[in-house]
Amino acid sequence: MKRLLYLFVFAAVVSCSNDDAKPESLYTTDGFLVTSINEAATGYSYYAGYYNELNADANLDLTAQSTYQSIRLYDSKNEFMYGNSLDGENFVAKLAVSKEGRLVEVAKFPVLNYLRNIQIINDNLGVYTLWGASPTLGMFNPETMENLGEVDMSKATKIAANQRNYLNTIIYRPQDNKLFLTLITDNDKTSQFYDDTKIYVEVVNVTTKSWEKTAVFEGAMDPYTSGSENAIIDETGNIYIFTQGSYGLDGQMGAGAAATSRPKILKIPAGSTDFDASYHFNPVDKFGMNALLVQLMMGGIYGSDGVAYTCISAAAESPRILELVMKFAAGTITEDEYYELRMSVFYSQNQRWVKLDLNAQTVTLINDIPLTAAYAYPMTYKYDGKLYFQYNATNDKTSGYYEFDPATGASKKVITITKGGLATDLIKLSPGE
Amino acid sequence: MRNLNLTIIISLISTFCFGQNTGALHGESQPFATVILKDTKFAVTANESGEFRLAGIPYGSYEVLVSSIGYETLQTPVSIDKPVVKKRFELKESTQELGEVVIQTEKQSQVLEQKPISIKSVDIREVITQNTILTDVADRISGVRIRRSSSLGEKSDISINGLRGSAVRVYVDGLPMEFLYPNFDISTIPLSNIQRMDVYKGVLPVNVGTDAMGGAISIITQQKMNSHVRASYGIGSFNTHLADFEVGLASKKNTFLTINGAYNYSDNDYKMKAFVFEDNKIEKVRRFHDGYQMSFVGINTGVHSKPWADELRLSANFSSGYKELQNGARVSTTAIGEAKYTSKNFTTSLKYDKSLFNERVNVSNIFAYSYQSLDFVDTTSNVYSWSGKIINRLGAKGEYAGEANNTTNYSNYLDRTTATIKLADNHGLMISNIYARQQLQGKDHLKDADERDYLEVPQYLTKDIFGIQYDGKFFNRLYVTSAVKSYNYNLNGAENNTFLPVTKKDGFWGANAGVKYDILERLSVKASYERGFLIPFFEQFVGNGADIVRNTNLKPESSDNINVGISYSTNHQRMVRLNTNINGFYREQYDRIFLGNSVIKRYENADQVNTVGVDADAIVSYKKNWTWRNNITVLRQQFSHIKDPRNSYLEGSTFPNNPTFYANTEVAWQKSGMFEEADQFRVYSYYQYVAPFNHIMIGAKDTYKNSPDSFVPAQHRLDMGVSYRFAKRGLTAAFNANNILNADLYDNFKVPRAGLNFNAKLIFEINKLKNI
Repeated sequence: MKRLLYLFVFAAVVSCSNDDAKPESLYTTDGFLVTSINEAATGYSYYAGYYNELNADANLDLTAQSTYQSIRLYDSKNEFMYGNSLDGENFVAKLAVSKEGRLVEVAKFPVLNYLRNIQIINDNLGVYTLWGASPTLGMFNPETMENLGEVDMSKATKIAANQRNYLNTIIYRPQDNKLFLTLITDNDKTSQFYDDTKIYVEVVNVTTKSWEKTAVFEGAMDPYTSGSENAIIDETGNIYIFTQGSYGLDGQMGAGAAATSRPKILKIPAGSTDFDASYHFNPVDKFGMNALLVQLMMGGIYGSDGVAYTCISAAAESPRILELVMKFAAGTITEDEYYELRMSVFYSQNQRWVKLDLNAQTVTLINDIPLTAAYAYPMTYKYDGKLYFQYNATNDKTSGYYEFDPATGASKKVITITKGGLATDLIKLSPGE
Repeated sequence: MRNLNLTIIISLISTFCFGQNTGALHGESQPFATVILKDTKFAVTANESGEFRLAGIPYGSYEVLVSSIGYETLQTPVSIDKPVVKKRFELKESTQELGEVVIQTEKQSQVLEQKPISIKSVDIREVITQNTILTDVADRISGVRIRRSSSLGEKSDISINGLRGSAVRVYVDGLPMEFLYPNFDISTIPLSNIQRMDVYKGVLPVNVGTDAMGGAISIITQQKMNSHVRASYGIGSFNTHLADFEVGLASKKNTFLTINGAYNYSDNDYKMKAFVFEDNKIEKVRRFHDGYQMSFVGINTGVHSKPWADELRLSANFSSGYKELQNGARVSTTAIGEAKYTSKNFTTSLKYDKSLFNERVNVSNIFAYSYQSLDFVDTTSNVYSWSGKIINRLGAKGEYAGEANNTTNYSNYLDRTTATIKLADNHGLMISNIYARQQLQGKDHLKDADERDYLEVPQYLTKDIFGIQYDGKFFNRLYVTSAVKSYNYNLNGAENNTFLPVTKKDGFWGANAGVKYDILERLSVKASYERGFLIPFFEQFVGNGADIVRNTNLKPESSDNINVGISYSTNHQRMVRLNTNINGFYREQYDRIFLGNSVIKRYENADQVNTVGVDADAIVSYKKNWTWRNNITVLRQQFSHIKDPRNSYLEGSTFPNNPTFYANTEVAWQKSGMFEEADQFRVYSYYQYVAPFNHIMIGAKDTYKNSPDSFVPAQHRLDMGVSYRFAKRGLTAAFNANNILNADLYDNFKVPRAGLNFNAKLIFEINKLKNI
């Protein structure tokens, strides 16, 4: 808070001067922030380290940096990042890297539930969603961190039988100044993570700050990709919704499983607020992995010219994992087995990063990124035209990032964390305009 | 079978005793009086109730000398002409200055501290005016750190030489508290019922410990067998009221009946800093939903000093109460405004104690049954700000860990049998066995009629721990103790998800040894070692049906504990006296049981943790009036081995959330005969310091200065108080001011404690009513 006050005073003093030069930021405006998460006997530890540049040859020891009670970053703009507060409490926080290289809070305001996602629309408007029983969409000013209140979402879809109904992915379409928000609906009494066979996307008019409608697609499940939950929207305003299916948890597994229960990519065409019912495809099937009992499509990011990227199942899960999934689906899994399943899936290294041509509906393997365990943190970023894909190699106990250059189609490892757990965020800092 | 054995033993005793030409002298006098049969080897010190026993005295006539500080020595004839002769010796108060009395008596607490194992014993009567709850007493002992909020009724986290949580156990009269009162906390036990508190740092004797590994707090309750009356009332800040009474009737035929009761209440509405949601800033707020109430009533009856029993005592007590919840493990952005629990507990016990063969053998047995019912209700959808206002209504219910409305019932059976055998003058054997069985069953009231309810499945945990211990004394200056223990347990539970039966059975052996050597009369060194085991708690095995899930694969935790120490004291008759102990300790914990903060709350075995440290205390006394007590603890705790190869890089890193440096100092001045003859006035000042420590894992670049949120700040607590014991009418009055610097103090995870607060206490006690 003191920092915020100082910032305001500083800003006021500077604004009174006749010098038009932009004042120097109080925070670091270049370089990279790298974060990781570690689960040990004492619970989770969150590490963050600041690096001037990415050095592929350097093994990063994040334990030599700083630790926090929580780090979860959802969006960034210039030198600022937006996410949870560093004490793990329910705040929308604005963060930055101090001149000394430490991740610090700049300002924050409280919310009533766990933060689910944040997106910065412009200099004066950011939106966030909360986890909970009813869809919640809040607005704030990312510059001043003033809480601007909530959009009335009382008419949004809420499946009454399910205990949780919350908005997950936030997609902003500048062409018509509208927000598209996917609904996650979950019932405690089932094994599944998503308890419906329809996809619901709430449409909100940013100009009027009001809910407009619900777009519905029948025959898909779980619009959740984990990782960065990036908006997949092309240059013309076509929106693509990545859906996960049931992970086999509804008992639908293998080539004969219902299409509803398998991963799918859906489309809301530019200029429309409804799904294109004729557009849907399963990228794992397209990759030739339709025989897999369980298919995953983790993470996702839009590149350019109708090309996006995701991490899909590229090898069969172990027989033990499949046995446990079947038990989970049937409701006969024991708590020990569930724990075994969770840990096995977390560290099961059998996904590959692929290139998706969303128009042609084709899938191409990115050859020089090996198999990765992508279930936990399939984070993706795009800086200066290059894509950054998180990897988690259980064989050599390292985690980090690959940089992919679409122009050459080549990838190279740019971050290798040897101490500090699994790589999570990779934020490139830049000076404000 | 056990009862049959008991009958046989009693028969043997009777036969044996009546066949001898010796008798015993049982009686009462002043507490801690010295009783000597003149010109014989027979001598004894009376206990705190004034009771004493001398056995094996050949029939005949003797002169008995009875002396005590502040009283004139009594010399009177006594004739030992039957198996048990009972006498009551009334002493007249002395008109001499106390300082001229040279008779020395040692209290039980002092006797215990002379053992080879590391132990600190506190006579509660000496500190009762200064403290309101037991954990405050324990917190002043070197090596011990109690962390709790300032809320009466709140759970305490006990740490002894760096080991904490379930590694440290609490015993009430030798019975494990988690079986006797499963949901009660040590801080809720009324002080007035307690005679002594023994803190074992590491090694435990077989008649106290079960599967405690890091040490234990053993609470010894009052067992007065004379007619007496006692009552006290304390009032304090935050609408705190603590009242208790006890009436004891004793007959000349050695029967006794004691009725006692206690009532504790507090609003716990102390001020603290918290985030006020609607103002979006941290403000000073008053806690508003933290009330606590506990009522207790008990009855003890029995006989003592009978040929067939030194003591036979039947006890029963009932308690009930409630506790409102204000916050979880840490203070969040919103408060808890409605969740609360109510509980009821019924406990009954039967204790038998008998010395045999001229007191060469002592057998005792205590059997207890307790039943506890706890209702937890957390069903509101209201969201409370720390200002106390309702700021929203969420669709989801439940403030703590989701919507809950459940009842859990514990039924517990415990039995401890102990026999001590005097092999020779300086050699003894002790055998002890404890059997404990716990049943958990309950009901989730939110379940639909057709839904399966995990809590309705009965689940059992049985423990049986047997120990045999040798104590010996050589060359009049070398003390040795050694023990082996057998641990067995049996779990019958239900699987969390499938509700299928789960059984687990295991057994293993542990051992300990201690040695103490008196280099000089007042200078000694001691060392002890224990290979200890910790059987997981019921909840750690089977979960709690709510947020903690089961792990029946849990293995017992084990540890190697080493203690070395040196103690020195000056002559008691010197004007300036010093009593000091320095102890070094080393702990290596294996398969450490921990509860992570991961998505699924589940106790796990993992990692090896190493603790090394030193604790020291020093008491300096000047004449009869001044006492200066100090203690200090320094320790280092770190991961020594990590099982998960992905996390092996954490080996050598500091274990978080554990204070590593803390110290206390207290100066007290007391004077007898200040206003009236035999009154007693005492004033003290107490200061406690806890150095900053990281409460989360920290990186190499983190320091208290650049990452203050990762640390619990330095804590400075200053208390002052005064007490006055009136010369007559058995009345004591006390007044204490705590945290008079109004400093920021914390419990776990930085939950603030109360600022400046006060309490006053009035104690009325008559210990020597005439027996009926």
